[in-house]
Amino acid sequence: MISGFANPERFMRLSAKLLPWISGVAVALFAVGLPWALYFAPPDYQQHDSARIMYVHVPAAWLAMALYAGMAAASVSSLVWRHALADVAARAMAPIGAAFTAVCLVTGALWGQPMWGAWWVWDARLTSVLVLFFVYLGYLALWAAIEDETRASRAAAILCLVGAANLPIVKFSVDWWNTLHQPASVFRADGPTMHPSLLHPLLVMALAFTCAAAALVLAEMRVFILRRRAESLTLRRRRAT
Amino acid sequence: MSVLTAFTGLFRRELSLAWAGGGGAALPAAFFLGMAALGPFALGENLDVAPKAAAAILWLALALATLLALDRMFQADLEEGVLEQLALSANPLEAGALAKILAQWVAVGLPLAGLSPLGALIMGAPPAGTPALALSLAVGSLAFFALGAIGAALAAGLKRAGLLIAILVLPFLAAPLIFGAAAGARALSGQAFAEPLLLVAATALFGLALAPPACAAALRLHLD
Amino acid sequence: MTADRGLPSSFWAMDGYAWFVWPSYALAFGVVILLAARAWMRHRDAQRRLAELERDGAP
Repeated sequence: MISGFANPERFMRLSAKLLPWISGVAVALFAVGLPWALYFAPPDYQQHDSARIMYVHVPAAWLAMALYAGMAAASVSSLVWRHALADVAARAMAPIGAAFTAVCLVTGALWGQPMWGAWWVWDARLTSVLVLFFVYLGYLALWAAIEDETRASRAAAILCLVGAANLPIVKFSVDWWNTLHQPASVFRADGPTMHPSLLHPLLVMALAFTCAAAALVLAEMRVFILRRRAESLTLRRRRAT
Repeated sequence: MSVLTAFTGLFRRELSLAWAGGGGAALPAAFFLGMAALGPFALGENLDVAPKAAAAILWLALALATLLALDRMFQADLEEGVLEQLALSANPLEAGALAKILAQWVAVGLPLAGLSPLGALIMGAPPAGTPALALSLAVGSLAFFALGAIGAALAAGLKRAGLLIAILVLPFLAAPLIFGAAAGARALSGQAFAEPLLLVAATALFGLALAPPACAAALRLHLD
Repeated sequence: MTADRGLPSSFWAMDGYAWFVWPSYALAFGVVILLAARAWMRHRDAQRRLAELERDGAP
């Protein structure tokens, strides 16, 4: 399937069909998830309604990490197999992942203040997510700094893979250290500990945000491919004249 | 020539370059001590700086001094064509990168670690903990150079490379910095510091494992 | 929470946490909408530019 995407023409055809569909699914899921999260889900016993921030904070956190993992996979594909669209995919995911990381950090602070009485603490989870955010920024800076696209994509791929070492640290930070941030309650070896009345709306919101992110990535990839086509046309014209 | 002989040759060459070229360690050392001297002023302390703050200032100074050294690390060699020769030679470029990292550590990192007791004393820290502090900085600077070299290699030859290196490298320096400052603070307070020190060593080993292949791959990009 | 018309005021007040909850949701959705708008505009511009080039091209 992945190799089927290697052909830009084919990707453009497939994404043209997929994009409106996945955007529609995202909107539908938000239509279900949003009232559920804000109204129908029960408030937390101790934190009352402030815990509703969870329904945007947790999906943002998951996407921050998932998008970086996607970038890392694309980087491997780009470096090892020279997959034609891998660098486009990585480049498209980066700003979106960075944005969701920022959302995660800010909504986390907005949740932390009523819950812990602190906007920010330097515990392992928050610090490693902040590091993830800076790695995203460095990745974007590297793409911007190198003019030649091939070189830029390979350099960025190297940086992405080096920074991937941070991902397990983020994930396991709440297990390896005494953190103020709560331990994992969904993605655990023994299964989720969260009550279904909270877990189900969370999953719907997470799926909604994921579909939105997927649509955004597809759209950005299309932009890069269209731009590449325009550039190669311009180059060919210049050579012909 | 075996790889080991070539490696030692490279290492010695890098070392002599780092020391010879206008006293390679002098600028980072001046910067390092300058920060230590300014620390008490910045903190507004009349007498002594708290151990935690003293360790933090020295570790920050080490990180920033490392950035200074990283800026020049691959730049001159790239310009003078030395890197091309290295890449074309029979020896792996990874070995060359490792030799450079170790040479920078010995030429710049270790002297700064050696100066740190002086820095700590300037800030009024008790002398008893300063050898342990120096040890933590010695190990930490190896981590800084290993991880930092990756950024230096990626940015080699680019415009405003120094700024880009800082952006790329600072997130990675965070890990040894966090553990190292903790180790330094504990050492200066007379507490047990083995645990964070071992974590610094772990980041250094991790950096040493990751840096040679990453640097070589990045340098090859710039040579194409 | 019986509501005769519309949502109860306690909903908007979010049990006193309104200043934390609503900005969080506004930020999350604002970012998604901004990213979507940006992607859409860039896409439109890229398509337009490509169409121009193809028109100006082989006569």
